[in-house]
Amino acid sequence: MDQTWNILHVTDFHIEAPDGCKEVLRTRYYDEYLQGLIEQLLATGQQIDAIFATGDFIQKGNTANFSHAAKILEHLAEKLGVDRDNLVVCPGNHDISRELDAMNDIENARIAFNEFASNFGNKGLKRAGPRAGTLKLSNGIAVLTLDSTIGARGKNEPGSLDSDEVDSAMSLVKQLTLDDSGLLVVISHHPSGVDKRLDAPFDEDDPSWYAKHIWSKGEPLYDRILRLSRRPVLWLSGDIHRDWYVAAEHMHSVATGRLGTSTDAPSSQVRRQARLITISSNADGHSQLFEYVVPGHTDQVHIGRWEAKQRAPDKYSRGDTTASPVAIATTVAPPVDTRIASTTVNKTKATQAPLIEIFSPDLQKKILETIASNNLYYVGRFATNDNESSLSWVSIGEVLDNGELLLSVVTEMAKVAHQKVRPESRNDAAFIGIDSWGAIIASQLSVMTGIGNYCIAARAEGLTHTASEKISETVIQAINTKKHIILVTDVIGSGRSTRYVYDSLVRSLDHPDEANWGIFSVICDDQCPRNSRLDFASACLTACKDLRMPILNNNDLPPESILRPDISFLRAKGGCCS
Amino acid sequence: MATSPTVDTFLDHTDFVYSRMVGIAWNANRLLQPTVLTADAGNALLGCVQNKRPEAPIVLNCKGISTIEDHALSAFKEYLKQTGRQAIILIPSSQDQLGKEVDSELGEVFSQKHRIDTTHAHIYGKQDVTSGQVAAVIEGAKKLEQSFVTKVISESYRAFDKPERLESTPLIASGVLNARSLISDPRKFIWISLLLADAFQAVVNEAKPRTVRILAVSLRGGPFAAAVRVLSDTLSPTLEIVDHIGPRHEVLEDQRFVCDFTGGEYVLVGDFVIGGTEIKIARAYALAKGAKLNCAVAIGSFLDPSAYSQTVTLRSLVQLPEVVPELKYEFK
Repeated sequence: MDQTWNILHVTDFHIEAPDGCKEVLRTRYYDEYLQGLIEQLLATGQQIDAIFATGDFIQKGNTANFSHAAKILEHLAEKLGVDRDNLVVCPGNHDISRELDAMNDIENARIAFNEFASNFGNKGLKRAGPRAGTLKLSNGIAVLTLDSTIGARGKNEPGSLDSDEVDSAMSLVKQLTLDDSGLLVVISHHPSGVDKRLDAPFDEDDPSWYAKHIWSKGEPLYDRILRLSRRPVLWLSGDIHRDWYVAAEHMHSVATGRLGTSTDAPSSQVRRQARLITISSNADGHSQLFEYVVPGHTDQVHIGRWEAKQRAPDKYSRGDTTASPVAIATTVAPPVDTRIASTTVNKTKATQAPLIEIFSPDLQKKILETIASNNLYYVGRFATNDNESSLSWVSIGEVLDNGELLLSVVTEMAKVAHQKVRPESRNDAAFIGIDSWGAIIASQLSVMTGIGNYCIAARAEGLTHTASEKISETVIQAINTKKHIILVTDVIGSGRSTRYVYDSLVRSLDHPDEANWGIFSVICDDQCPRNSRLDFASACLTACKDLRMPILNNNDLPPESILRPDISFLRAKGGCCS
Repeated sequence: MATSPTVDTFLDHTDFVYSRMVGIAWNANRLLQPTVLTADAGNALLGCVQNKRPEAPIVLNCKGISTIEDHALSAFKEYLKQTGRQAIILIPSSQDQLGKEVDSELGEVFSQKHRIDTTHAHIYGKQDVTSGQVAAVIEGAKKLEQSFVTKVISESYRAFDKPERLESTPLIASGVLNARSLISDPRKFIWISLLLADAFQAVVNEAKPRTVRILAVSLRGGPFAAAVRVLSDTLSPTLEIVDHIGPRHEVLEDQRFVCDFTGGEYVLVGDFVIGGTEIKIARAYALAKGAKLNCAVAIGSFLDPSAYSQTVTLRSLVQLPEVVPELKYEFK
C-alpha cells in the first residue's frame, strides 16, 4: 500500500531587525502574520510529518537574530503539532560569518548556525564533515542536509563540492536508505539539479543569474542520488525567492519563495510563500502553495492575507543523464522508468529563435515609411530590464496615432486570426493583450473575430498596475481550457515581457501542453538574438520585422552614471533575491 | 448571401429586435472601418435577423455610419421583399446623404418616412406606422441600449468578502467593478464603446475644441479610447495613450512630457471614475503639454458628474450608485 508524507517547506526569513516595525517576522507581529497560514494548513486536515527550513534565517550574518528565528520555527512546529525533532534546517549564505568564511575558517563561520540548528532535529545528525549530515526522523523520513555555501569563501553565491565530499555524503545516504522504501528529503539552501536547458535561468536577462543562485557543483551528487534507487526523493531549496517545482523521474525538486524579509528590503516580486508538499512512496507528488497576498503596490503586510493554490510539479525526464550507459554503470541504478518518460510533459524547449513572419510586405513598408517620415526612431539607452538596454526606441503610440496604420495592423492581424482559428473553435481561443497597445489591438481583434480577449499589464512585471490589471485568477480561469492563445503586443525588444506573460500563465494552467501559443506584434526585429525567448510560440507574426532594434547587455555598456537611460522601466522594481 | 456574424450585436425588445449598423459593420467588415457599411456587413446583418424572432420588426440605427457601399444591403432587401417583414431604419437627420443611400439600397420596399426630433425613420414593409409609434420605437431603443449597458456594468461588480482598501487610495471599498470583463467579451465591449462614442461626440459638439485629441491614461481606458477613435472617424480625432498614470503614478514613457508642446484640447476616455484622481493627473499631463483637458467620458462615475465640474465636464454612461447600490466607498 502506498504511503504518503506531508512536508511543510519554509525558507528565507532574512530577519534583520526583530524589534523593528518593518520586519514581517518581528517579535511583536510574527504570530499574527503566520496565523492565517497556520489556520489554512490545519484546515487541510493533513497531519504534517516534518518541517524543513532551507536557510537564510537571518540577514547578512547578524547571528544575534538566530534566537528569534528559532522562536518562529518553534511556534510553527508547536501550532502545527510537529515534534521539534521532526524539524530540520540547513544554512544559507546569510547565516554564516562572511568574514570568517572568506578566511576559509569554515567551522567558526558556522558556529552560531550550528548552535541554532541544535534546537531542532539537526542535533541528531550523523555528519560527514561540515558539508553533509544525515538522520532519520521518528516517522521514518530519511534526511540529508547539505551546506551549499561552503567553498564560496564569503561571496554571495553557491559554494563548491568536491568528489570526496560527494562520496562521503553518498556513503551516509546509503547507510540510511538502501534498505528502505521510504522518503529521502535532501535540503540545501541553493537549488541543484537544475538543467540549464530545461528550467534555467529563471531570470534570463541576468547572464550571471545561474552562477549566483544555482549550486551547479552539487550536480554530481544530485545525479548519484537520482540513480541510487527509485524511491521518492524530495530536494528542497531556497535562495531564489521563487516558486519552482519540477519532478524528474522520482526526484521532486522544490524551491519556495521567502517567508520573511523586511518590508523596505529590495526583494523579488514573488509573494511571501510557504508550501505543503504531499509525496507518496510511488513518487507521485503535488503541493499546495500558500502565498501572502498584499493588495496594492506597497508592502502593507498588515492588510494582506494568506491564499492557497494547488501547484503540481512540472514534469520532465532527464533523459540525457539517466540514459547515459556510462553514468548508469557507476551505480546500481535501476533501468530508466520509461513510464514517466512516456507520460510526462516534454518541456524541452527549442532553444532557437522562432521564425518571425510578417503579415504583409505592404504593411511593413507603411510602418517603416511612417517611422522614417515622422522621425519616430529614437536612439539612446532604454533600460527595458535589469540586465539589458535597448539602443533604440519607437514610440508605438506615435506610429499608430496615424489612424490608418492602426486600421491596417488590426485588419491584417484579424485576417490571420480568421485563418488560424476556425469559426467552430472560436470559443477555444483567446487573445491576451499585453500592456496598453497590446490591449488596444487585442480588443479590436476581439470585436472583429468574436474571440475573447484579456488585457494584462506586463511592463516592469505589472508592478505599477492594480492587482486586477495584472495576471489574475480570473484570467487564468478564463483561458485555462483554451486551445489557441495568441499574445498580442506592440514592440518586442528583448522579448522579456512576452516571455513573462507566457511563463506566468503557463505555470498556472491545468494542461499547459494542450494550448497552442501564437504571438502577434507590431514590431519585432527578426535578427534579435533574444528572440529565442519566444520559442514557446508555434507562430510568431509581426507587422514589421526589418527594423533593427539592437539590445546590449548592460555589461557591454558604460555604467548608468555615465550613460543614463533615456527611459527606464525599472524604477518601480526592487532588486532580485538574496 | 447571409453570413454568420462572429458577434451577435442584436438586443431584444418586447416589440422589436434592435441593433446598430455600426456595431454590425465593426464586427463583420473585413476592414477595421466600422463607419462604412460594406457588403460583408450587409450579409452579416441578414445572417443575424433571419433567425431572430421572425415575427418581430427589425429596428436598425445608422448613427455613426458615414456611407453605404453600393449593393451592401441587396441581400437584406431581397429578404424583406420575400418575407414582408418590417424594418425601421433610424438615420440622424443631419445625414441626408446617408438617408439617400439607404433609400437607394432598399427603395423597392420603401413604404414611409417619419422625422422625430433629430432622427429620420425610414420604414420598410407593408404595415403603416404612425409617428407616435416611431417615437416609441426610438425611445424604446434608447432605453434598451441603456439597460443592456447598465446590466453588464452591474454584472461586472464583484463584492469583497469584507471591505478592502482601493489600491493606492485612502478609500475602503465594498467591492470592485471589473472593466476587464467588459473588454474581454466582444458583445459587451461593442455596446459600451458605442455609447462612449455617443458621449464623446456629444462632448465634442458642446465644447467645440479646436483640435480633437482622445487621451487614455490607463490600461483599461486604452481599449475604450481606441474604440471611440475608430467609431468617431468622421471627427478625425487623434489618439494618445499614456502608459500609464495610476494607481501608482509611474509614467513609464516620460519622454512624452518633455517632447514638443502639442497644444489643443484633450478629451479623456476612461473606465470608472471614483475620486477623480485620474482626471486630475490627466489634466496635469495635458497642461504640461500646453494643452487643455476640459472634458472626459467614462463608463461610470461614482459621484454625480457635477461633483467633478471644477476639473472637467464629465459624461458617464451610468451613475454607479444607481447601477450597483451595494457599492460603497469609505474615506479612511
